[in-house]
Amino acid sequence: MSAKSRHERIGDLFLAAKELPAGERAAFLDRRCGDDPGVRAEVESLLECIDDFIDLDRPAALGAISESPVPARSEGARFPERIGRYRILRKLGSGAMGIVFEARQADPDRAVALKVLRAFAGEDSTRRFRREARVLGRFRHPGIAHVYESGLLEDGSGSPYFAMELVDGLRLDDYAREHELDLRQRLRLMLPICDAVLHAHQHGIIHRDLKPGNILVSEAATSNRVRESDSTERNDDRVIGQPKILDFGIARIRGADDSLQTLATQTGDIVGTIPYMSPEQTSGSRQTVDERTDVYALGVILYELLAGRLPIDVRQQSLAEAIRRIERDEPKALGTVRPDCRGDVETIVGRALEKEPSQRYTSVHDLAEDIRRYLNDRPVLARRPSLRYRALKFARRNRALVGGVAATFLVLMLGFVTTLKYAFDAQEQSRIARWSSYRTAISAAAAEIRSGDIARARALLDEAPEEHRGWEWHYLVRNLETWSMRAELMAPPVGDIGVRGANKIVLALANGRVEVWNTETGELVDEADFGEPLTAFAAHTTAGIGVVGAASGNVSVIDLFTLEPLATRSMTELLEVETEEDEAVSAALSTTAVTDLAVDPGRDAIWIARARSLASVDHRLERVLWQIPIQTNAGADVPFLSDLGAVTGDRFVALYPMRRRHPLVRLGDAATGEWDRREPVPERARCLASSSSGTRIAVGAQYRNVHVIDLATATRKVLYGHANAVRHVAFSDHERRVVSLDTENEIRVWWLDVDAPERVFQLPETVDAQAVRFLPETSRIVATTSSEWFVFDEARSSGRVLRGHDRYVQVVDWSQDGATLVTGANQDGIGLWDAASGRLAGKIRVRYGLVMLELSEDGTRLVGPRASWDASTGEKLGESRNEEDDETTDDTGRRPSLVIRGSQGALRLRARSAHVEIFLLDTDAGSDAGSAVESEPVATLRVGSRVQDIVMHPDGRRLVVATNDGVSIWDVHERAHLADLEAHGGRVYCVEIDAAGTRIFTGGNDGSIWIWDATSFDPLLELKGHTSYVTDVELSPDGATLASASGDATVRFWETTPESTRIAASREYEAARRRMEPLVRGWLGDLDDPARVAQKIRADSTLDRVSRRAAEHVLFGESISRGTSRGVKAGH
Amino acid sequence: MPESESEPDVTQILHEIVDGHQSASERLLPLVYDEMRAIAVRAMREERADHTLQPTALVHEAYLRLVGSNVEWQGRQHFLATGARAMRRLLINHARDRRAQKRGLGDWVRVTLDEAIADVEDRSIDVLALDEAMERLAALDARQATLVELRFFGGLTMNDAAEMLGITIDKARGDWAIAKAWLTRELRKGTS
Repeated sequence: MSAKSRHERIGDLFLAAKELPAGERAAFLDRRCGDDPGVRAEVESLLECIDDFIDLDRPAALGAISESPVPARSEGARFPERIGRYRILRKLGSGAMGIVFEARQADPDRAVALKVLRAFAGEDSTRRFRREARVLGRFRHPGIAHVYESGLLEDGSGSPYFAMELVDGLRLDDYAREHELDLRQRLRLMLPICDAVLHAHQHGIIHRDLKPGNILVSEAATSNRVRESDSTERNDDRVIGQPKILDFGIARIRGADDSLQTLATQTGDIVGTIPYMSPEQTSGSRQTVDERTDVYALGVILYELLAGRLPIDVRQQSLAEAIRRIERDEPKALGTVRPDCRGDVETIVGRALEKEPSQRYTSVHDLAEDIRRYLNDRPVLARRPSLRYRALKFARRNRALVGGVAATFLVLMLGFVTTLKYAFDAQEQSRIARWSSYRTAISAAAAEIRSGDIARARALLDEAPEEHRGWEWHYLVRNLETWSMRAELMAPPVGDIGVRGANKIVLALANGRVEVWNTETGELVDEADFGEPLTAFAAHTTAGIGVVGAASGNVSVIDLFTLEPLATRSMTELLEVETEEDEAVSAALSTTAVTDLAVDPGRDAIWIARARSLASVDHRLERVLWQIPIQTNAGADVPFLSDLGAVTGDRFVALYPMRRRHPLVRLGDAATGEWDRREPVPERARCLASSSSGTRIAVGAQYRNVHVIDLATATRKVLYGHANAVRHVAFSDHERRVVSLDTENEIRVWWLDVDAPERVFQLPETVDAQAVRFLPETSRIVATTSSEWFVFDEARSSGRVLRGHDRYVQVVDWSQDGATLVTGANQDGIGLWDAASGRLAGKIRVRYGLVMLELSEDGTRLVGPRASWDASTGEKLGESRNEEDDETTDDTGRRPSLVIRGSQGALRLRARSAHVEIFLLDTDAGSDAGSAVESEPVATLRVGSRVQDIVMHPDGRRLVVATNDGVSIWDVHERAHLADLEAHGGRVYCVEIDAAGTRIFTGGNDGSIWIWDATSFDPLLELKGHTSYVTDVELSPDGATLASASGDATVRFWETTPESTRIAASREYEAARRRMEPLVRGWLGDLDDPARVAQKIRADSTLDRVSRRAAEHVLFGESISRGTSRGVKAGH
Repeated sequence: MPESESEPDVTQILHEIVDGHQSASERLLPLVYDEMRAIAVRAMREERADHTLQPTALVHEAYLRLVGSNVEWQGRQHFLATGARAMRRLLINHARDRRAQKRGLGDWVRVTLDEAIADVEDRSIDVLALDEAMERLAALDARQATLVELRFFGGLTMNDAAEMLGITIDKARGDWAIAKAWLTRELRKGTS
């Protein structure tokens, strides 16, 4: 046996044995490798490794990792005989956070469970551990496993350990099952658990990781422990054992505050943990984790204990899906799973499981109290949720039943009642209530928009208290519906989307119907029934015909306008398939379903793709022009030929299926059916489209790109921007635009020949998007999902993306009038853009990092870190070799500084690596802050983490500091620390505040942007769209548009004003540009000096504002290209 | 302008890759490697000094940088694979540098990137030993070794890696489990 095949055999045995319970592995190996003890030894040595793999699952990263939460030390294959003064007896278990041993302590002589955690990374963690460990040692309760001792191992590893009471008992759920506890007994079993948790809470310790696996029940009878108030005739506590909670306080030591981070890295541990996590934990600790987090976990445990299933079953879900469910799905009412729980028990559990902590029991005491009340037949205190609350929940649960209208009505009515009620409340309470209702409305509306329930989102936004409405409210209202029409379909559409005239679409549905819809009114205008399930559809608008294919192999050519069949034929009859010897091949060939269709415009023919063949048939379906087999080295599992198109008049193109390989883009001769060429696409092709004239092909691919191939010029272009695999592509009629749809339902519209920003549209998350196409002669796009169609108008896109840099964009700044945008990209240069049209006027090449860049206040200069440039001509004005700006003198990238002026004089704030220095400015120094002579700082704010950006609140007092550890807010006058915001997984790169000082905007390493209230510091809304970290966020001067710069090399606009305003401005600009272009070129030719042309433009009083800007932009672009060519001629 | 000189080379090479020239991938590696190294150095020196660069981000940036907007570009898949290989070399070279540095060598690049492999070391993975073990694994099962390279050094998801290797996701999971156990055992052998 060669080494390779031996390795393969060992691998197979290993995989098979790994799936078996440990006890059965030996027998299995006896059976399977009795002949070769060497192989067996190897398999066993591999099996020994599975409990403690080296950590390869997290990709290696470059960078400082001290803050990353898995500071693992490999424990080695064997465990030690002794750890400290404990003799190790056996391993009880292990997980991502550590290993648990059963051990023996000598003095006093007792059995302990010794838990050794992975070593800490930094001193902070060690300090925190020691503090927590002291607390835990003092902590005694019969319901909590006692921590005898804890400390750090002195074996050089410094790993923390706990010696704990060794509890001999069953897991909570196993215990209940084994003793066949009834409802009341199960409830009673919860009481000592609640008592124990409450005891810990009273000592300020939150468990954070309560789950049945952390609660062991020992057999010790406890009837003597039952409280007086619980005494009852029923005697149902007779068999109740003593539950003990393990690991109290350890979750916190572990630093599990940042639950998401923990999740992301400790995947080994999470499977058992996620179902018990509260929404505030899964949402990444935006909200404080407090007692109510444990209330939630107890609710899940109780639900599971009573119902035998989890309230929200997330065990089979991906992490992202699990989190989404925990945050959004309502648990199935307990009473429907277990009828005897209807009423009070259901209410109690429901109350503990509320998504909003404020709706839950405020303490474990209250939860326990209600359980006691129920057991003693007293009325429970938990009120059934309010009517409005229930109505919302009902509507959420029964989305299909309660139509949008009914839901809106309910919400509006109840909103009205709520508003009335608030009016009578005490003022302060009302203010708090209204703020909290505003926040709820915003987050609920954002969630509803994502899920596509626009009516509900609109109602929620309407309901949001007016006095609190800010940027995020306007943003949501503006982006409520990026589609202009939608309608429901009774069955999933198949194949292409046909169009009829300017505003009608023709869809073939899987249920056998062909339907014509008006895209403006959303009405069904025509329909036909083909009486059998359809599998394919293609339409040719100019020819006025469509063709449908069925699972049976029937094909019909139809008149697109009348939907009358022109010809119908069974392809099984027409196209005979030679039988093959290979059974699998025969089976595949006998599959008759039509997989794709296309109209061959040149030859009045139809192309018909079936499992293993492609045929050309005349459009009366009478004659077979040619038929070719699809040979893919066979096998029934090979995907079918899909996505056919016509190219260059006499050829066809198809995604040719390959067994175990990526499909090929192949071209063939339409007259003979001979394949003659392939177009290589460097990644897995998923979909294909050909343009109407047939000269261009677009291929949507797995690695998020769209490849556009121009057959006439043999050129290619890669459209790069989707964050997910591309599922469908289509060309516009004039072949100038491509629309693409990705697997996360994002739609992008790209311009192929002009430098225009791409448009982004988002379908709701909840739909299963299928196809997209342009509507002819309009700026509209239609998209189909498995149950609906949507029409988008480009005039209403939810985002515009500026693309023009090759490297990551570091900084963005607006001109004073908000009409021009400047951007700086690392090693790439400075871009100057027209904000309304998104057109790049020109780019100055700069070969170093642009950590800062701004337009001077008068708009004439671009000021960078080492030089400045003329904003009209792009000419370099001078280099600054300011010592302070020299990159070697400071290790902070951005080195932000600010000048503030107030009644006390002017202050300059300057960020140093982990602190901000405050200098008193000599007021005589004038407005140029950089020239001020500073001596010593008058004060220093110690931020404690690297400063990335600072911004001053308009009140002149509050300083907002973005750091590598979140956002920190300071009072500059008092030099006092006010608050911290946890954001972006710690790393916040930029911060912005609006002119009124009501909102803070942050961007960071996680690629998202957060909007915060600037007074309460509550998070309000997250903006997602960048595929890499966000380096800068900047509000337009009117506060309406947020521009964000990102590591994905783009700048994105987030808008609150109607798109129509912007479009009008864009048109005006483009017209002015067309007028000014020849003029400016002429002047440049005459004067031969960009600076003089700039003067001329500025001096020309006949020019209006827009024309002047357009002229300046033309000049900027022209002079840069002149400068570049001159430089090249000069040859350096 | 050194930039514009290097770009046609890359394009040329990428075209050759598409046309099936075997050696093209090897020739591309130094370019990708140099670019990724430059990005890493820059990121740590002048930008965000403690910014963690995930391999995917690094490859992504190298991609943006090498491809530029005007270059016709055709080899993302090879690019990702080459990027994973480059990442592996990057880490290994730094591990070697570190060893050398302990003997008194070292310039600013090494000092700055000193932290680079802290991540791997935190996990007690001897990156040089891992590299050697991967070479041995490659001799037994090249696909398993490549999978580790793509996943661990290239940061690809299991789906993407399976896609790239042309195997099913289940097959990839199996390979991954075997490779992990195998490498774990080999590394332990080395330390015990």
